[in-house]
Order: sequence, then structure tokens, then C-alpha cells
Amino acid sequence: MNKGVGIFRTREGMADALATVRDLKERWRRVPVQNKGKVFNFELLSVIELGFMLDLAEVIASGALQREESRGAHSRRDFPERDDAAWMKHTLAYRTPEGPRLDYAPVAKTHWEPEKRVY
Amino acid sequence: MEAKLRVRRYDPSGNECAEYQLYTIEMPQSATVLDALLATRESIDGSLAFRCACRSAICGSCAMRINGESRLACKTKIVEAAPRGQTVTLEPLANLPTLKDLVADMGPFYDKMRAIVPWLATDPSKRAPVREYLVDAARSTKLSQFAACIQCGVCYSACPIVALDDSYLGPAALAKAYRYCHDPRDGAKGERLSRLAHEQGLWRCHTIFSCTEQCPKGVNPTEAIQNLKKMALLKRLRLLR
Repeated sequence: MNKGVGIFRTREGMADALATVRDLKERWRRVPVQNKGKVFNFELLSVIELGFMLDLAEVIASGALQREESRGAHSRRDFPERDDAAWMKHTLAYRTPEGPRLDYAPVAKTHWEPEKRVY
Repeated sequence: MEAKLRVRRYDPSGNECAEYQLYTIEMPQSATVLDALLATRESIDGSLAFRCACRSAICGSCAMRINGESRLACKTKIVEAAPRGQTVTLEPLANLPTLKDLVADMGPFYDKMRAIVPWLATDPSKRAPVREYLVDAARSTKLSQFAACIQCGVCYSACPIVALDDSYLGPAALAKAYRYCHDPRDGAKGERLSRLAHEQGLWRCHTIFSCTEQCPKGVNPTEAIQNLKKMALLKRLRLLR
């Protein structure tokens, strides 16, 4: 995730990372827990947390891969410009057996009109 | 660098285990005791239990005894604990029950924190200011030293009085009490002091300074307790405003 879905992103990098994450999710299903203790079993906790992290990694990578623009912390080398016409919307992810299903929701605009941040 | 950890083991399920277990693991020169524990759990023994979260002396969860002294594992380098490559002995915090290996039951410690009314209360007899409550810079600086407590339990484990009498409130709770009693915004000073000024409260401190010596955040509970004693005395003599 650091390498492929880090600060600067490209389609290839993110696609690679996504494939790796899916591969790891498959491997995670076969992870054994050697410690059978019932009190403060950090080994079991780590395995559970690893599963959660892989779920979230998949959500982050698949959402970022679809978003073909740059916005905030999502900086794409292959799409360096912000694209409000196509991408002024929230990404929503729903859990399915085949992986996250993506949907989109409109941005609620209030007092301040969203605009490009330039420094 | 080879780190040698001698870890106190305890398994509440009654499974047999060595009283102390020796782990040897290759670590970089810059590694902390916590780094070595994490590496040990990851690559040698998944059953090893200890708490940690922030790894940067902010959360206070990795407090334990290192070579007999109560310290934060994340704030203690291996080269500091074992300058000549000796074995580092790790034990759970003292004066608290042990749940597993290096994990102490913090319950009694938190109960005492709760007992001292650890919040600011307004004085109903005084009018609230129109705008904010002001605290002058000097007072604020003084308070921030006591407010720096991260409730790790190091002082509680280091205190020889707590070891003798587990009904003693202990350094952390009393330092916290002083932090509120000394705050000009507080209106519960009287009530708090009457909860503290008893045999198991602030009068139990014998000024041994172990808490002050071992606090990883530079809090000085002994000074706080001495100041509380002064306040309690003035209150008794009806000299405290």
C-alpha cells in the first residue's frame, strides 16, 4: 500500500497493489494461530486485525483506482488535474463476497463553494 | 546487536510455563525494549503478552519494570538498560495484580484516580465570569507540569508506600488531585481536600521521591503531595480561601 497507493499514485501502481492485497486476502484465510490461549491472546488479535486491514486496503485501492483525477491527498501522476465535472462526489464502498462494490454520492455544498486548493 | 530479554511469564489459565523465560533476538543499535518485545512476539513467541499502542511515550500502555525499575518500554533503549550487552529483566508493574506475562490489571489504579474527583467543578456560590475563565500564564505553566501525567502507573508501581499499604491513594491520583486543587477555575477544592486528607490519603506519603525519580513525563508527584498537605493544613486552620 505504501508503494502503490501512497503519496503519488498511478494506474499501474494501484492495480499492482490491489492484486497483491487480493492475493494476501486469499492467503489470510489460511493463516494458522498457534497460541490457543483465551486471555490476552495478541497473536489471535493480530490475525483478526490483519483481516480488517486487508479489507480496508482493498476498499482504499479500488476506490482510488477508479478516481481518475487528483484531489487532496489523492495525487495521481497520470491524472494531475482536479476534475469537478466528473469527480465532485463521494465514493461509497459496499461489502460483497466478490469484494467491495463501489457507488457514489453527491457532495453537500453549504456556505463555501468547494474550490481548488492552491498554495 | 543481540538483545537478551529475561521475561517474567504468567499464564492465568494455569498452563505450566517457566517463571522467567529468556529470549535472544538480533536488534538494531537504536532499538527500544518495546521494539525488542514486538520483534520477539512476531518472530519467536506469539504467546508473549504485553500492552503497547503509541510507541512514543504518549499513551502510557507499555509501563513495566525494566531491571527492577518502573519505566516505559518504548522510552527505554536496550543499550541504556544493558550498556554492556547484559540480559534485560522485564516484569509487569508492581503493586497491581498481573493478568498475563507483562500485562498488569490497572483497575485498582484507575479506581483511585476516580476517587479524587478528577475534574473541575464550579463553585455555586461564585458568579460565573461573563466571558471565559482566565488562568494566568505562570499558574498555567505550573499546572501543565502536573497535567502532563499520562496515567501509565509507573509511579504507582515505584511507590514503596503503595507496596506496604494498597489502600493508599498513591502518587498519580494525588498529583492529579493537586492539578485540580491548584486550578483557579476549580470550585470543589474543599470537597476534594476532605476526601484526601486522611491516613490513606495525602498524609500517607513519606516523601521517598521514587515516583518523581521514575516518572517518564517529568511530573513531580511528591511536590504535589507536599503542596496538598499545606493546603489541607490551611483549610483545617480555616486560613484557606
